[in-house]
Amino acid sequence: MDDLITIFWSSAFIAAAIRFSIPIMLAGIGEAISERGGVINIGLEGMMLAGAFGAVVGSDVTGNAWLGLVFGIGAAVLITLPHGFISINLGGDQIVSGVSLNLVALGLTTFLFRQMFGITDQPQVEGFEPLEIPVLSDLPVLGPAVFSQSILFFIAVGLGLVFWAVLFRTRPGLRWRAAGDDPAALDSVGIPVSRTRWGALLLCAALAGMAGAAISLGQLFTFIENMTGGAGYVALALVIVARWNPLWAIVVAVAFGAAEAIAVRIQAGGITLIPYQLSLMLPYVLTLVVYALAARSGHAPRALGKPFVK
Amino acid sequence: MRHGSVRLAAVAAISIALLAACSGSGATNAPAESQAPAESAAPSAAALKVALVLPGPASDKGFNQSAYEALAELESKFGAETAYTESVAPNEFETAYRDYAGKGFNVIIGQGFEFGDIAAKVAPDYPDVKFLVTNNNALSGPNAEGLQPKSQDAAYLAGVVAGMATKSGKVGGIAGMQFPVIVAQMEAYKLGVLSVRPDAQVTLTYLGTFDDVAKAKETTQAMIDSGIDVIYHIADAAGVGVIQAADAGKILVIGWGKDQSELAPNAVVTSQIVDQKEMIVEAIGRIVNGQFAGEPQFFGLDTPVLGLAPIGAVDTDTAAKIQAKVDEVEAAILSGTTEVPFIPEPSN
Repeated sequence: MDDLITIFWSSAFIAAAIRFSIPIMLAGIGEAISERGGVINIGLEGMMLAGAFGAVVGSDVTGNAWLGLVFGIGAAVLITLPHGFISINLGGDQIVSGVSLNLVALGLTTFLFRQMFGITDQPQVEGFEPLEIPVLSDLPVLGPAVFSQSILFFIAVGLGLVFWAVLFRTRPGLRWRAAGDDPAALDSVGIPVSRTRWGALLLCAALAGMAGAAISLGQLFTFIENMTGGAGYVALALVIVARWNPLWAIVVAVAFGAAEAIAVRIQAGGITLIPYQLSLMLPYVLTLVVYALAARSGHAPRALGKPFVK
Repeated sequence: MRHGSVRLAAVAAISIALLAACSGSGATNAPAESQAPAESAAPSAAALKVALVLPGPASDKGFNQSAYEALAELESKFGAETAYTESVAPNEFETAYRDYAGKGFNVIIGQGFEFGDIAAKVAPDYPDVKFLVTNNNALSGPNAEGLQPKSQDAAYLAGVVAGMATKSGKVGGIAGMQFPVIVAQMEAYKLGVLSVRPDAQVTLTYLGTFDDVAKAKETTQAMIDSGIDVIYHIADAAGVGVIQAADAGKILVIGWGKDQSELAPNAVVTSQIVDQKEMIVEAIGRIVNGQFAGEPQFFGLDTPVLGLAPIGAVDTDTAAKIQAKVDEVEAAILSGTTEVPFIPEPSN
């Protein structure tokens, strides 16, 4: 029992939970905005993968992690354009278009990466090293856990706060929510629904690109085929549990990260009580449980996933 | 709405075409000129056409990649024409086999135990084609042969290194999935550790993935936090994360596949060599010389297929001491004094 406590109430555990949470936090905040605007992105995973790829290429070319991040955002936005055109302008099926985005992103990043670096080379590029914030990182337990993270964690939390305020306290935010809840009403007051939705979607793509960069430049400093490993789907579930609220997305992302960290630590801590297959399931079981508890409160944007045709 | 379904179909078609273009471009599975099927029993070097079917990506930094790297050597050494298909799902194994056989390839290699059944089924239909399946200890026939490295022997040696190198007496092992051949190496590693350090605490972990590098990294960090100071991995691409985290955490790590010391010279104490390339080149060499065996071939520590990379990342005295012990155990395995069991189920 003491073993369990030392595993779960320690700087190392909390730090691991936060590291796991950064990519899904960024992607979750983006997806919350996009879904509020009425566009669902099954292709979140593909956007993240494109972001991870673009960021490594950018960092390799420029030798600068921040420029790499910009490249990552650009790659994610580029690969999202066809999805936006199909689902917003043509009124196509958002699910089909999103799935295509995932498939194309996997094929395209694999192909391009091999063209650039070959099959056997593995470039190491400039990335975001963990910060050591003076004074704060010396605090007991939480200091090393929270204030020795990569800067992307603080950016993610900051963006969550900013976009919560934008969404619920400003005029553009009101328009986004209208585009997702009652696009006809938005249209009737003379505001183009498609332009509003495009804004929400591109913002989501940019955040997903950052999320991908958080994996490739924040954790590994290189690109590996299919390296997002399903984080995009976890972020999709996260948005529902967070009730389409960027503020809750921060909290839920850390909770999901904690579940991942528990799964990893149960095994690696030598606790053989639980078979490894079960401990690997833990994050998904937790997702289901939380979802079941949260499913009744609030509701999805009414026009989510529905094309708006005048 | 009328045009909705048409648009939808067009979108789907375009995406699939794009995808096919992307995933197919790496393979060279269209032979330049059609070749008459080999008529002589032993194909001459000029007519040698080798196809490789991989269950995963050719760039996985491990199992699949080492077989892929054999192709270049077959081209330069035997003048062979080569082709490969990667990330082939089990339900497509047979199609891939018949495709290549029908196109006049005279050697078809399946990378991994699971190709054995399909090879045995397809082989009688193409008597002029030789079927090789790597990591298979059972396949035999007039034109079929399994190639099996005794990887558990090398894993045992890796365990000896870990047992000698650990200061805390706590060592770890991280593997991708619980396939029998992988479990056998993890268990042999554990036995190797215990043979030199009977009081050691060995923690073995399975990630459930070969490409989630972030998870591999976090698992390694968790092991470091629990006091483990030497970690062995069989995790292909995810293993890069194990090595990175070990390097950052200033502990020792044992690579797998090829010598991985260049990834982190200060952390990689050794690597377990399992060289699929050498194994494939040896088998093709026998085919070219008309010495095809038609029964499973085993590759031990006395072949270039298996072994340990030179000891590094520790001071020279320690390295010499470890190397001496490794040499002693290796001799005992080769002479049969020490027999490393094949344990396909996790013990715990």
